[in-house]
Amino acid sequence: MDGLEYAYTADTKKWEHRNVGEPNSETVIRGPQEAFNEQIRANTALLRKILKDKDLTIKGLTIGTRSNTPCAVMYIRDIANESLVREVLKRVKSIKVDYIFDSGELEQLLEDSTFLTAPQIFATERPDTVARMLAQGNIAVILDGSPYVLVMPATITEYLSTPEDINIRFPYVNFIRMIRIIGVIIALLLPGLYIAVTNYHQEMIPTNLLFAIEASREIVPFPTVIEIIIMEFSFELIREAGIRVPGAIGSTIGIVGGLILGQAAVSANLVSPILIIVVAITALGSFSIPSFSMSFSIRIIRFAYIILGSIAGFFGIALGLLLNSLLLASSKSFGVPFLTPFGPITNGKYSDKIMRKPMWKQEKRPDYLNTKDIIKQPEVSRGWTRSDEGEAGGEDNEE
Amino acid sequence: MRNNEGFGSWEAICLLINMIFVQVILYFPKDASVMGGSAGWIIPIAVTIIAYIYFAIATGFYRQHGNLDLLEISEKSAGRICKIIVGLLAALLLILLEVSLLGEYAHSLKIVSLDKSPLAYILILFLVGMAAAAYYGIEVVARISAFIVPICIIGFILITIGVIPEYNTDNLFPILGKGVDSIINGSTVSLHIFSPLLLIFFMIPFFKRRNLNRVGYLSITISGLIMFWSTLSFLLTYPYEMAVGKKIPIYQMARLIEIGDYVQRVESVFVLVFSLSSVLYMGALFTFIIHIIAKTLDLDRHQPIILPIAIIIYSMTFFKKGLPFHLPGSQMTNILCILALLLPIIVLIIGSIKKVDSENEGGQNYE
Amino acid sequence: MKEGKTTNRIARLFCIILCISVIMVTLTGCYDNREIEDLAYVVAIGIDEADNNMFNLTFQTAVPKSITTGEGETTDIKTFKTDNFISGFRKTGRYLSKKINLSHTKIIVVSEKIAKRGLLPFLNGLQNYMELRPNVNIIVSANGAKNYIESLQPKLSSSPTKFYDMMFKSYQTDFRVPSSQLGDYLYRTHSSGSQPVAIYTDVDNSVIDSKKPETDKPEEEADKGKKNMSVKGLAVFNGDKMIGSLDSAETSIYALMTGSIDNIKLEVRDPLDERYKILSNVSKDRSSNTSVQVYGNKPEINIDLNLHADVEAVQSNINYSDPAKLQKVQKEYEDYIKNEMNSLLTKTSYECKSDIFGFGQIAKKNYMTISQWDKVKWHEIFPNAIYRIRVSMTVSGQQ
Repeated sequence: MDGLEYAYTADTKKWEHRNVGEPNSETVIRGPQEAFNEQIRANTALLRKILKDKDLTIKGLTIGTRSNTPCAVMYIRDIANESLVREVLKRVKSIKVDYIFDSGELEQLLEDSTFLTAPQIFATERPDTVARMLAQGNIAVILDGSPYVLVMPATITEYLSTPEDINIRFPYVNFIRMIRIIGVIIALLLPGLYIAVTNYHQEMIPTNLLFAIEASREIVPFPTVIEIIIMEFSFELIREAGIRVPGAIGSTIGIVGGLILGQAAVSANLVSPILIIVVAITALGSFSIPSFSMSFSIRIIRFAYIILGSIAGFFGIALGLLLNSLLLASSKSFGVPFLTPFGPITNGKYSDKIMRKPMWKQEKRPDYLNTKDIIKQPEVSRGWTRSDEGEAGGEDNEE
Repeated sequence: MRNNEGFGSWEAICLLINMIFVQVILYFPKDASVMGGSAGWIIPIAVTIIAYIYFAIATGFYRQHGNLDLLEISEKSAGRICKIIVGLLAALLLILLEVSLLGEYAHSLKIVSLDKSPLAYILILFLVGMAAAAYYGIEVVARISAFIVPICIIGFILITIGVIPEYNTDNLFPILGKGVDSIINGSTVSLHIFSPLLLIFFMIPFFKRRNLNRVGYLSITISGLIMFWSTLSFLLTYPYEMAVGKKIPIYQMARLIEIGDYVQRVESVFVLVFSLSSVLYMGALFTFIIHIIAKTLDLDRHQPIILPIAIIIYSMTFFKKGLPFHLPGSQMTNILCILALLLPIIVLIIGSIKKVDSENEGGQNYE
Repeated sequence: MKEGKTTNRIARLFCIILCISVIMVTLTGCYDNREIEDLAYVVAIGIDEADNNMFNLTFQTAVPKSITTGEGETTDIKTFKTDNFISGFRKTGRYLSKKINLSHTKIIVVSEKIAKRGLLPFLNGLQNYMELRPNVNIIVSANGAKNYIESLQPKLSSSPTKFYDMMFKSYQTDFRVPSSQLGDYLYRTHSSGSQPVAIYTDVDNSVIDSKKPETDKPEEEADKGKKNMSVKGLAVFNGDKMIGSLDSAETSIYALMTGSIDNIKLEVRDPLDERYKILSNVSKDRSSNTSVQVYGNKPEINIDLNLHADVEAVQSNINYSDPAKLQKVQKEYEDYIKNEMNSLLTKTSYECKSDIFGFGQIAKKNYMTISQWDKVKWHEIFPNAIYRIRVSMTVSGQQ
């Protein structure tokens, strides 16, 4: 130190922490393989590394009267909407709890409606997803001690897309999206539709299929509803148990549980084989949902559809669709309706709704965020497509 | 983020289209063939043109009213008494419309899918949907109709396209059907299909004023097209002697579809489309009724009156049991529905006589 | 604080009442819930005459194969005596343990005596019974409905329902009989422009079953009664009463004229060698048309057929590829078809007096309103019709 004749030595401790590793739950094939870890400084550093924008702002706070957990709110100052930033900061600052340990708790304290099955805040452990969403105009909240970062506001399109969607080419993206949407619809509606058709509308099944189903159901002692509920319940049980089984046996349990249990149940004449197929396809559909919390919500609602389908056939399913849409459409996440851009059909060339437009056409940010600067790319973002002579090589794309 | 709740023009268009679409797939082609014989397909064209004229007249009076809906105009022009009269009259007309249609839909649903359930049970299920829709309010209902209604219309178009191998142009002859005068008679009576247009004038505060023309004309055009196409394909498939006996025309057409070996038994599409759109329609109508009543009586929140009015409507549906099944075809309902269309014109005439200005211009009142 | 407690309690009471009513409605409300295996699917219905103005109703129900015993699908035929159709259904409840479901019925067989008496009371009652589909085939059997159903042995495929589906498709291409379905039949009964037809079957002694070599038992008495039935042609109706029948040659000409079948295989006497025949594939060209004019009480019908024949097989060894010989074949065909058409038209319009060709539909084009058309009374003036037939044919030789 200048001006003093003595020196201090201090022993600084370093907290042991996990290295930056691979993401556990959100794996992609094409894209960076880094994930957040529990240190808040490391997480913000990861974000700074990706977004070298001079307007990236971090506001540091502490939450928890006793735990004093550091928390950081990040946004890009001249893109994000002012009132959104104020709202987030107001909510975060006004939380009064003793101890807060994980961003999951923070999510439950911040969200608009606790009882709705659909999640309203997006949690992710990949820095590139967070960086992309910050660049769109969202706001991120990082809590020390949790590798999951919260991004708000979140609408339904975030939950149905993976970070890989942006990295792969146009034809592949749309193909994968179609399959994913069909998977979501199957996971939600297939058991309900199966019950509605076989119990109420037998005239809609082609005759051969009808006799195949009838032949396999002759020997089963339960009515169809009970069968389906038993199978779905046991499948959920297998899923839950499979998380806790130690690693080496873990994957085998899945195969063992599925195959042998299903096969044994069929041979014991407890369930019919067609039902096993229905349940298996439903499970596959629910695995195709990219976001963990969204797949939970769909698994819960599926049971409601089964009950409605068995009460009133197709009419019950239609009623269920109506109630479900009403619930989803009326919920908001930080002032943005959940079903944007399908609910209020917003104008402006938002190019990422169901089908994704090619990379060079994504010119505007989503306008439900009311960002300050809505143009992402100018109209011609690939300079090399312009026919001017004397330019060898390409220029950098403006961002 | 947005301060005022509203919905755009596409949602309003879908809401209105749904109201007319449900009546079309249910009984309109059969009525058109009863009234006009094999020339029934001329009736939708005539009705659409009349609806255009009506709408042009109504918006002609609307130029200076700005963002007000019917109730506010009547209040500003003739005081609170007029507003209460207009509001209650409109609510009463809509309740009558809803009751007759609810009985009809429940009965049709019984024919199509659930035939042993008692009518009361199906009505309770309808009521659950309606009450839920009314609880969440108009904006939410408009938002979901923006994506449900296109799906229903696509399902309907697929059914009418799948029936194309069964078309037989000979069914359209003799060309003028039962004669020109019966066509004209049929067109004037069928105007009751467009009675939900009344609701445009109540929806105005929710979307911007300059969109009014676009919303109205586009919804009349699209629903006119749907009516015309469904009547035309129905008359091409069945000769007029058989057509008068078919209870639910589009369902019967869906049963005929047999393309190749495996695309048969497509009624499931129809049942889904019909259930979805009819529940949505009933819900939307009920939401409007609650909204009008709440606004007429200056209530703060509209949720408390949902349950009583739902029970009233439920019990009124049972009065119709003694009356013949097809109530919407009877003369009285037709006259009532046409009255429903005259109501906005009367109010607008009164409003323009008293020279009401909109709120944006400083709110000067000439009383 | 106390006020908060009271409203809380009211809210909780309300929720409890809501839950209880929902549970009650769902558990007791499934009125229409019928399990698949609780229904008996009737595949064929037969109507016969019995004494005392009663009817014998025959039902053929499908018995699905069960997995444990591994047998194929079989059918079960039962006959009941009732006096009207609707009560017949109710009676079946006493004999069968399952409820009857008509949504997969494939054929309705009527005996000739009942067809001559009039079919409309049956069919009207059935058509409003929504379960029957409009593509159920109607068959008139000269030997009794019960015998016909029993004689249909599904030998070529393992499931009787598939057998029926295939049977009618093969009828269309091989046996030259256009299908006569319930929807078409009712359409023609009610339409003022044409009359209905139905498939007509009779005992066919030219088909002999070869005995299986394994069974050495002598032929039992009951077996002798089971004759083989085959399709003879069409039954002609006037309104709903049967008045005559067409044999298979006439049926093929009928099919050619009305255009319901695209290709007909016609054989004709070889012009250059009297002992043999020439087979060719005749198809109707699109330029052929029919026009009808009504002069007072007499309709004048002009039929213009442009046909094209592809010679397929020549029984004699004469080579038919040069144009002179083809001319002879062409003239032979034209004469043959013209003669056949003349005799067919004479038979239907003068003897049977019924317009099965649909000329009335074409005559309708001359009138503007329905009241004018009704005054014409087509079915009464049809027997006075004068025909002008012109057949022109082009023949292309064999490769």
